[in-house]
Amino acid sequence: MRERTILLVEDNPDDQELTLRALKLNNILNEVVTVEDGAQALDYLFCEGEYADRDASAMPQVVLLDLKLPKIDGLEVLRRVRADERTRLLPIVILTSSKEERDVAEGYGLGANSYVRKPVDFNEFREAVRNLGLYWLLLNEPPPPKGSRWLRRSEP
Amino acid sequence: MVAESRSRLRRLSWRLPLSIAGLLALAVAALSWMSYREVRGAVIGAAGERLESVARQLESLLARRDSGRLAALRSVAAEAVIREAVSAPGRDDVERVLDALDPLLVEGLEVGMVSLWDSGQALVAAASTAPPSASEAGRAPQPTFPAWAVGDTLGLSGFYAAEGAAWYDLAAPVLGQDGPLGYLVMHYRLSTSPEAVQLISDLIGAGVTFIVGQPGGTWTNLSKPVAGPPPASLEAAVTSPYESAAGRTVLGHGLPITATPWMVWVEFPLEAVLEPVGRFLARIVPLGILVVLASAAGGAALSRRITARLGDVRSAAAAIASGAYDRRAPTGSYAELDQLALAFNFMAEQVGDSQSRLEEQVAVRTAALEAREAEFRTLATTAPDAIVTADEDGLITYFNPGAERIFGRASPDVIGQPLTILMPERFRAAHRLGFSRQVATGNGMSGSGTRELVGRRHDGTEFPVELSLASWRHDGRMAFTGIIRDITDRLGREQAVRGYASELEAANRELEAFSYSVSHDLRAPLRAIHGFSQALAEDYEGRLDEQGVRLLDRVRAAAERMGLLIDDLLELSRATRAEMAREPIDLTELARGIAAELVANEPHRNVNVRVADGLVTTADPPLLKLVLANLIENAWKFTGKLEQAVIEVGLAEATSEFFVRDNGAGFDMAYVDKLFHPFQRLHPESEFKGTGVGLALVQRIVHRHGGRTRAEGNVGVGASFYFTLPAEAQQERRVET
Repeated sequence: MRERTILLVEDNPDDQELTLRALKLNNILNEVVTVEDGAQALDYLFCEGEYADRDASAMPQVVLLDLKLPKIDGLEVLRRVRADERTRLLPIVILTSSKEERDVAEGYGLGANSYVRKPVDFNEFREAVRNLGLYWLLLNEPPPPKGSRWLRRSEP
Repeated sequence: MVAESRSRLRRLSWRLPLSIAGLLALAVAALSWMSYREVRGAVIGAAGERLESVARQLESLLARRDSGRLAALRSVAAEAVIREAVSAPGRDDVERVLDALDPLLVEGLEVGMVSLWDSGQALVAAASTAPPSASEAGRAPQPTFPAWAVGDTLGLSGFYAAEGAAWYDLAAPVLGQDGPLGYLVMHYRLSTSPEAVQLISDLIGAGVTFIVGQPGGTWTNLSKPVAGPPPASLEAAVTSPYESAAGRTVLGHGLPITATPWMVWVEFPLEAVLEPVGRFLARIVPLGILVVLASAAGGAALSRRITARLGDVRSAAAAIASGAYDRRAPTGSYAELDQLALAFNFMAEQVGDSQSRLEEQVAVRTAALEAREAEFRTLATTAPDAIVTADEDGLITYFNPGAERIFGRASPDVIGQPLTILMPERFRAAHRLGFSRQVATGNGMSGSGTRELVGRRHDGTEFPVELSLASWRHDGRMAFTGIIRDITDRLGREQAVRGYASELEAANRELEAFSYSVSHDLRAPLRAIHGFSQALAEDYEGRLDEQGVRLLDRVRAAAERMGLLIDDLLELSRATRAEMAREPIDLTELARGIAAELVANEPHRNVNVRVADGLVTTADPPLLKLVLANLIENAWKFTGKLEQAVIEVGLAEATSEFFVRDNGAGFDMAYVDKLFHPFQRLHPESEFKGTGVGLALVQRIVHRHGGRTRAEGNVGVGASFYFTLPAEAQQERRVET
C-alpha cells in the first residue's frame, strides 16, 4: 500500500498539534500537510498559487477539514472540491467542534465522507482518530489518480 | 241618469221581477193578440154570414120589386094604339097614345117619364110626371141594350144619375107580327124617402146599410146616387174593412139581383161587427195586466229575499275581506242559498284558518327578520369600518357611522350622492368606467378579496384604504356594498412590524453566530488545556511526582466539565430555536425505548420501569424525546442508590397531565421553584452528576408546546414530574430563524 499524504486544514495551532499527536499516537505515519485556511487548501488541491508546482497526480489520501476557517470556510471548500471533476471522489472528513456544527454541515448535503467531533477530552479524540485511520487508511481503497487509471486500462 | 238606471238594471232585485214581468207581459200580449185575431176572425166570419143572409133577403125583395111595373109596361105595349103608333107614326093619334101611357105614370111619384120609340130608335112619344126640360129629353135613354134588341123580353137598365137623383129604365118591346115594332120605355126615378130607407135598414138590422147598383155603373141607396163599394171586393164573401160612402168603416157583401143587371150591396159598420171583440179585449187586457203586475210583485219579493241572502253572504265576504275572519253567512232560507252559505262558510273557515296560520308564520318570520335586521343594523352601526352601499347608478344608499367617521361626512349629506365623492379626482373616471362595466356584465362579485385604494375625506385629505367589494341582485337591479377600512394605522404598524422582524432576524443571526462561536471557539482552548495536560502527563510520565499527576488530572476534569456545560447550554438554546412540527406520537413506545437503552447501559441495576399503555399525544418528535429522556434519565439517576427502584410513566386522567415518577432521592418542596431554572441543582455534584440544565430544557420544550410543568417531591421518598401537551398549541413560543 502506497503511503500518501494527509491534508489537514486547521487554523488553530493547538488543534493542529493535538491532531498530529492523535495521528502519531495511532501509528498513522503518512506525511501530513497542514494548511491554515480554506484558500490554501484549495490552492494545494488544485495546484494553484504557492502550490502551482506540486505534482497534480499526487492527491492526498484523505483531507481532514475544519469547518471554521479564515478566508474560505470549510463548507465552501467542501462545495468546490465536490464540484471539481479532479477532486469529486476525494475522501474528506469534517472535523466538527459540536454536534450542532455537524448537523449544519450535513444539512448542506455537500457529500463529506465522515465526521469527527473534536471533543474536549483528548482521549476521546484520539479514539475517534484511531477509528478514522483504520477505516480510511487501511480498509478503504482511495480513488486512483486519473492518469494511471487510463494507462492501466489501455495496456492489455 | 242612464248609467244609474243601467246599473240599477244590473241589480238582481230589479232584473228578476222585470224579467218575469216582461216575459209574462210578452206571453200575455201574444196570447191576447192570438185570441184577438181568433175572435176577430170569428166575428168577421159571423158578420159575413149575416151579410149574406141580409143580402139574400134584400135581393129577393128587389128582384120582385119591378115585376108589377114590367107587367104593366108590357100590357101597355101590347095595346093596339101603341102598336099603331110605332108602326105607322102620325101626329093625329098622340092624344090616344098619351092616354094609353097615362096609367103608367100614375104609378107613383117615383116614376119620372115614359117614352115610346120606333124600331129605328126614333122617339115617337114621351110623357112625364113633370114637364121634361130640353136636357131631360136629350138624356132620355137610348134603347141600345141587346136585351131589348132581342125583342120579346122586357128589361131593366142600369142606374144612372140625373137631376140629383138615381134613375133606371124599364123597357118592353112593342111586338108586331115579325119582330119588335118599337119599344116602350119607362124612366124610373128612385125617390125613396130617407125615412123609408131608414125603415128598411132598421128592418134588416141596426146600423146595416145597403146600396144597389151595378159594377162600374151608378149606385144608389134607393134615394139618391151614392159611391159604390170598392170594385176589387165585389166578389168577396166578405170584404176587408173599407171606408163607406157615408164615411164609416164598414164590412160589405154583395149579391147579384135575379132578373136584373143590379147588385145589392150590404154594409155592416165595422164598429158594430167588432163590438164583441172590443168587449173581449176589455176583459182580457186588464186581466193580463193584473197577471203581469202580480208576477212582477211576486218576482220582486222573491228576488228581494234572494238578494237579501246574497247580501248576507256578500257582507260576510266583505267582513272577511276587512279582517273579521270569524264572520259567517246565515243559513235557513232556500236550499240552494243554504248550500251557497254553507259553502261560503266552509270557505270562510278555511280562509280564516289559513289566514291565522299565515299570520302566525308572518309574525314568526317578521320577528326573525326584525331580529336579523337589528342584528345586521347593529353590526353595520357598530362596525369600526366604513360600510357603504350603492345602487346600480353608483349612488350611495347607505352610509354607516363608521363611514361618517372615516370620511368626515354625515350620512344625510351623502345619501343619493355618487360614490366618486369618496375618492380623489384622479381615480373617478377609472371608477366610473369599471363600475359601468360591472353593471353591464352583471357579474356578481363576492369574496373578490380586498384591494388597497386611496380614499378622500370631506376636507379633501387623502388616506390609504382597504376595500372589500360585493354585489348582489335585487328586483333585477344590481346593488353594491363596500367595506372600507382606513389602513393608515395598519400600514404604519406593518412597517413597524417589518422593522421589528428584521431586528429580530438580526438578533437571531447574532445568536446563531454566538452559539456557533461558543461551540467552536470556547471549546478550542478547552481542548488545548485538556489535550496538552494529557500530553504532559503522558510524555513526562515518571518525571512528575504523584501530586503533579493528580493536579494535571484536576485540570483535565475541570476542562471536561466545562465542555459538558457548554454542550448543555447549546442544547438548551437549540431546544428554544429549533423548528417544531407536531405529529401524533406514541408516548408509551417512546418511553419504553428510552428505558430499554438505560437498562442496556446499566444492566446490573434493579429498576422496575412501568410505562402505562396507550399514551398518545401530538408533539414535535425530537423535542418530546428530549423531554422524556431527561425526565426518565433523571429518575434513573436519582434512584441510583436504591436496591429496588421503581420508575412510573403514565397519565393523570383528572388533569390530563403526563407524569414520570420515581421512588428515588426526592427533593425538598421548599426549593421546588429552583428546579426548572438552568444550572440550579438540589444535590451536590459528588452525589448525583449533572449540569442542572435537564429540567430547564424540559420546561422550555413543554412551554413551546403550550403546556405546563410542575414537580412534587419528598426527600427520601421520591419525586413526580408532570407535564401537559395540549392538542393545539395555545401559545407557541417560537422564534423564527
